[in-house]
Amino acid sequence: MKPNRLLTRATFLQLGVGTACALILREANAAGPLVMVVAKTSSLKAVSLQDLQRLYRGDINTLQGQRMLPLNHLPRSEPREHFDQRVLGMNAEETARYWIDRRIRGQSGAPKSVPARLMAAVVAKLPNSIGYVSGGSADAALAVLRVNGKLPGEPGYPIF
Amino acid sequence: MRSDWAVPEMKHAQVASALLVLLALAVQIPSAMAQPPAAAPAPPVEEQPNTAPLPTTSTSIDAASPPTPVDAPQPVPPVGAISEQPNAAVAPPPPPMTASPNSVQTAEAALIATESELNNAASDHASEDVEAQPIDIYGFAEVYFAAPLWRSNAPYSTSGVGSHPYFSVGNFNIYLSKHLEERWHFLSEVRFVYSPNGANDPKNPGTRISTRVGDTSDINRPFRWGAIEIERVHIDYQESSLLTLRFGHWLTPYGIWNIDHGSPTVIAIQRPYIVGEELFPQRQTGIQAFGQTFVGDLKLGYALGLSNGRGPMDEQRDLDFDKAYTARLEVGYNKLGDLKVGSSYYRGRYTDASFPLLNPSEARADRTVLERYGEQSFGADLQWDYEKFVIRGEFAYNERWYSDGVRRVLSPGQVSPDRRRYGAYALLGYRTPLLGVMPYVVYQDYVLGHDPTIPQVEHLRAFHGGLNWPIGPRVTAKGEYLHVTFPGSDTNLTKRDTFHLVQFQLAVAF
Repeated sequence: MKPNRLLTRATFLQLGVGTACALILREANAAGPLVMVVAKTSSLKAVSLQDLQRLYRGDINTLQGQRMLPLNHLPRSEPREHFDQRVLGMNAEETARYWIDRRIRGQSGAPKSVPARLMAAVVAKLPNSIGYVSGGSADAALAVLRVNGKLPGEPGYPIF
Repeated sequence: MRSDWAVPEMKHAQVASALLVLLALAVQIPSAMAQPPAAAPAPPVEEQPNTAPLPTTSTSIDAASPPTPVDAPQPVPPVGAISEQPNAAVAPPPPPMTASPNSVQTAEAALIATESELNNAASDHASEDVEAQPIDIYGFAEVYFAAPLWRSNAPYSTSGVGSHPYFSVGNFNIYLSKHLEERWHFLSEVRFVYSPNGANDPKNPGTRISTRVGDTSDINRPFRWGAIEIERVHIDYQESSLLTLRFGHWLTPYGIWNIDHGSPTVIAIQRPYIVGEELFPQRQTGIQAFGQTFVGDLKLGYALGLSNGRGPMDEQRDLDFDKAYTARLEVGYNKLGDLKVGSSYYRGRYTDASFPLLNPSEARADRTVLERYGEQSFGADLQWDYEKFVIRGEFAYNERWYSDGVRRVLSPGQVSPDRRRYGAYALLGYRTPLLGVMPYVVYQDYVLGHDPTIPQVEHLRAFHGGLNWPIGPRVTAKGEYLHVTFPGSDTNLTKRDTFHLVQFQLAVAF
């Protein structure tokens, strides 16, 4: 077999395996509710869904008197689309248009996005940040927030 | 709960890497497939992209979620970590994977690099290094086509629309935005225009202004220069959501359209008359305080402004001692869709005067006041998005009075009169499931009062019907039919022709 063919075959196989792995990761991320997290040192213990919506829509920047730094997952990632739909009530396209419109008006832009694998570490490192993770689990350096008084997994938890 | 939820992702990634390595070995990838030696190891930590021109999530990754100017002053790290994210189209390539003997070293270096990324990310999010944050550049633009449906010599040709179908570039606006310090933010917006080329020369009516000149950098070949309109330039200090102070040249906080104003954001094509005719000043220079708070389900907002007011050069000078003030209150309620009502007020004094000239004998500067009037404006607006329905409506009223008799002389024997203008528009749209296309209708009613420059028209009504098609978040196409009538106007001007046209617009945000 010619080297070029081998090369092509290998490339396609790599792509195939890579895609399969990405899908597995995507499924893993999609499992379970979204868990709102803050640094362990934060005094914030609970938040309402309404306040989350206001914070992540740019309407407020404080929670219980603390200036907060909301962090998002990257656009088009599973947790981000899940979060936008459940918390903001918008799909990906609507969310994008929402932020574009705000910027044209001269208003604040979207919360910053953090790659999924860095989200927990960044939140843990920044005392006033707030983020979310998938799967109903959290790092030891993070504190899980109650949302509307419920912890993930409890009946009535709103960001499932 | 797992104690370390981040680990599974890493494990998946490692498994994926191992599979790929095994696969590469199994099919005996030729040596050419292997990474060149220089690329195999991860770059040393000190070369990590703290200052390298790598993309930030704000400009290249999170294109749909642009950076936060005020509320969340935290640019996103210029991290290579983004390379593992799903947006493969814009992400840097993943680190090379090889079966070389130094793969352990590679993995270690990758881990160190990850730590570096994390530090960079956290540092940037904490705004500890604002110098490293790039200035944010974005904007919008539109191309436009209109086909007037009246005779080529109809009186409406003098409206500025002309008589012939034409293409044009309407708005080309660029924003520069930067988070300066904690709580401080800068924003500017400029609009590039082809004007004044082709405009009617006010000093010689009927003659078009030409900006055609020789280009001295190109053997004097002719070109036409354009201009820049500074839409706004301001510095914001945000104390809290309840109080932001804005210094500079800002859009007057009134109504809906004046703030939305960008062609990708507004639904219809043309500015309503009450907005375009500036019953409120479009922008002012001064200081503004604004903020918002929530009381239960209600969102309460306010704005207070102190400015030079309207004037012939109000961006830079006020030619009288009277400062203008603006006030706005608005209430939002989101239990019935998104509902917002607002009301605005403006009061100021306009003064135009000649440039002061030295009078040496009297040791003073003399100037002549050319025009001076007081004015006030009142407006109310409603914005309601309920499921797929969209409603927009604004009312505005303006009056001016020449209490001290300094009126502008328009022509011999004719001076500017006291004037009262008012009007309203209402827009109703419905976002259909068919590609998100929104059919909409607009109705406008505008009373100009007596304007000596167009004495034949004192009242007009307009009806628009069109389609707004959001092709994507950044691209919108619109098509519209516009029909205008002039109740009570000189029938000699209007009886032979109908003021109606079709127009199309393609608007983009970038």
